[in-house]
Amino acid sequence: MNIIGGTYTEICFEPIWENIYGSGFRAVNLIQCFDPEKEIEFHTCCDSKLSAHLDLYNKLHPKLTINPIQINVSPVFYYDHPLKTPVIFPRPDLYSEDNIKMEVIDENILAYGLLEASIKVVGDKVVYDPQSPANPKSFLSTGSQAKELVIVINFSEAKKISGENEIEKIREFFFNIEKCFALIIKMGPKGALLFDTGSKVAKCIPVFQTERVWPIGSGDVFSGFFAYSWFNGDDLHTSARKASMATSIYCNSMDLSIANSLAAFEFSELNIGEESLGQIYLAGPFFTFSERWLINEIWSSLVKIGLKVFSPYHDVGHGKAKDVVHKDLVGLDDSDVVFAVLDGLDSGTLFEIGYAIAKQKKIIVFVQNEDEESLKMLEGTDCILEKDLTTAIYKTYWHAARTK
Amino acid sequence: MSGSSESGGIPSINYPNNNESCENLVINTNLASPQANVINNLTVGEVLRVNAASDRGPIQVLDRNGNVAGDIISREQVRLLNCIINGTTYVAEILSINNAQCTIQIRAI
Repeated sequence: MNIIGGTYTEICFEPIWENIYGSGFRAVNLIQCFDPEKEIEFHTCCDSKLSAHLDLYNKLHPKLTINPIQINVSPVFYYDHPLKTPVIFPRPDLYSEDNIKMEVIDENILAYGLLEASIKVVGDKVVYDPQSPANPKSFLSTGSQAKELVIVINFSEAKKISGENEIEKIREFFFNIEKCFALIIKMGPKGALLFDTGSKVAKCIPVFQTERVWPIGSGDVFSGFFAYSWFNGDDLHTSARKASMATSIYCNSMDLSIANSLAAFEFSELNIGEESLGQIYLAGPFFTFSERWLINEIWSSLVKIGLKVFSPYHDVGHGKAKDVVHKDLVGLDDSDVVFAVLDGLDSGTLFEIGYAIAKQKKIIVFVQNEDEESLKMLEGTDCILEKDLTTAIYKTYWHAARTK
Repeated sequence: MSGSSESGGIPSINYPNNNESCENLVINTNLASPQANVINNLTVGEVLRVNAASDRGPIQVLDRNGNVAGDIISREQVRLLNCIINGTTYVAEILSINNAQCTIQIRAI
């Protein structure tokens, strides 16, 4: 199979992650780990440092052929945390995809969009993932052709390319204009929707509930494993389901060696419908800049993944007790799940947690540095205690889905 | 004041600066392809041996019995391998273990 896609440095501040992947190279790693005998031709762009990294990798993987195009500086994607939109160095507008044109003709092609190059592919079976939230390119606009085209795309990218907001209109666009054979819309913590040829009804591809959630590169893994399975003869639904399973293993482990975990798969599936989810109450102190920054990051992340949030900081603000407490408690009464920031053991936050427990609400506690004794009452009342911010936010989403 | 500078640099807690010597190279990363049966017998704070299986790699982390706990994958892979080949010895200290997920700090001795 052929893989065309980016090779980028990825840096995450919290939790620590400093690696060289990018969509294309991650898919190469995933498939080579899973099936070392698979012959892969990889087309990418890289600067001298990444070129040396790819050369070293290639020496250990003889079934892999790499066709690199040298560029001056490869992009670095920097994340404060995995749910934050990455900052790209150098600035993305300094790259022009018109400068480099990558063309691949073959039977089976997995094609990811690149920041620094345009792509054109001609194949029998093609999986296309545009991989650009800011400026996704339609398959048709690249001049590419496929006998059977499967587009795997984020919901936000699908809306941008189609110019539509409703799923049905989006589906019509991709089948009628883009002429795809199948369409998979990735929905993050909700799983994915698979539209088969000729069917207006989507098959839900479930998300699997993992212990930990590491989302950087999860979309790459989904598209990569889907393509691998489909090219190997699995049907679309089986391929998409396997891709979701592979993605959950990667998200749980931050590791691309998924074979053993896939053979002994242990995560339970969650089918989340279209109905709206419960409201989240965001409890936590906001007296200092660092506390306000964290509350704001959590608020943004919860909203970004599609949750309705009541935040005393954002929705009520500072004030005297007689002005704010009643409003906060009304917000808490109206919420289904509480997300609490506990480091520092703020008395107001502990009060809110106790109040919510008495009202039988689910509590997700984000806490990194408190001792066992301080957490005993919370542990004993079935609060979910999480050290990892992204995991805490995803678990909040899944619990909000369960309460409806 | 003349406004912000052209590049503020990219925050990193590692020391992959190109001017760093092999002795000063420190890499915080996750153990790749972790072997659950080996990891299960390790504890936080344990210091493991770092070994290049050949001059092409892979770079492995070994427990005290010589069992492979996992591989090292890092953006400084090429530099780390060259340093090992040229004689610098590294160890990997276990910073945390969460199921089979294991974070380590690699540093020279």
